[in-house]
Amino acid sequence: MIKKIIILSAILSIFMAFTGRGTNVFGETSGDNYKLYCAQCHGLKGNGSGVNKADMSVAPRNHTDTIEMSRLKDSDIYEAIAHGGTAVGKSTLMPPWNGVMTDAEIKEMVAYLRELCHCKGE
Amino acid sequence: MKIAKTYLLMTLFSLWLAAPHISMAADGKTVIEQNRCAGCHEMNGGKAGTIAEVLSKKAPDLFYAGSKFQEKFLTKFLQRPNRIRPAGTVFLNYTAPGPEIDQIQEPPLCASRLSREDAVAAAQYLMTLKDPDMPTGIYKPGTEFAKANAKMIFHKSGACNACHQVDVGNGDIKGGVSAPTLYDAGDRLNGDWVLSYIKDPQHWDPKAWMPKRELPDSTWQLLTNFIMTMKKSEEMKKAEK
Repeated sequence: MIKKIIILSAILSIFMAFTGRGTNVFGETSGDNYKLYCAQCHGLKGNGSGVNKADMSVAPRNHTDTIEMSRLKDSDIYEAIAHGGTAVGKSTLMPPWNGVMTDAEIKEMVAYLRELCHCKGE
Repeated sequence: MKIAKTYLLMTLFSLWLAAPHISMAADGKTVIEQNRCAGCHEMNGGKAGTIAEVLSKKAPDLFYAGSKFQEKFLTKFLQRPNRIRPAGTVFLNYTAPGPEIDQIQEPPLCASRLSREDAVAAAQYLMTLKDPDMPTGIYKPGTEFAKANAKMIFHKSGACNACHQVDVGNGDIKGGVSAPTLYDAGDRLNGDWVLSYIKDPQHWDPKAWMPKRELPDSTWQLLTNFIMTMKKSEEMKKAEK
């Protein structure tokens, strides 16, 4: 009986390690990916205040804006990240990231943005 | 006899004075080692494969310097280093959150000021550090191209200026700061490397924070031709003096 419990605990621990919140099984967390790829324009805190903002013709989206972000569907956010702003009728300043992040990482990023805005999509 | 002896002594003294410079100039690798360039720059081909490794970078990789740079630029830069990355090598390391805009906090410039002789030798050595797999001879300097079209791609559809600073006219520098400046790319970089990098940044730097796009080869060549026309304006050259 004890042996069974130990084995079950070990399996559960491994499962939890691989499905931890915001953790990509391939290595980087969505929070770290956000800092490296997104923060340069959207800001370290996700409030649209990235270091590149000053000379941009269109301000980067504020991902902490609950009202604005609530208006977006998860599928729209996914499309914008994967294929760029033009895929959802927005600015070309938002580039496609599907050549850099995996599909799983992009899906995790959508979930991370929902954490930043404390909101759900329509 | 006395004059001949004095002349011989003076010649020997001159040779002795010149000797250290001759030996240093002959070996750029020694100059690189003596100046501990590897303390900041990756010299041996260890690409940063994780974000943690990216954050530990103090200066740009140099193990493919010979593929990336022009020798003339390296020789000049090694004597008078200037900032190429406005927010430092890795912008995340020198950026703090701000209410209106995140703030860059004085990134250090990890570069040595070498003597002319050492700079020449070091640049010669760095030019031997090449990626043998990089296609060469594709960029042809002076090739005519549709500049208006290239400019539209660079500034509009590609929005390269969102992260890179360029000269928008008469030395007026505009653009993002998270990536290297491009206003003097044509003085600094090798066209074949530019073509290779913009096509696949992650080949050179697996965690580069630059998007990888699928575009026709003709578009990459157009962009490369455009980037290579970017040279320091007369106003900038005057300001440097």
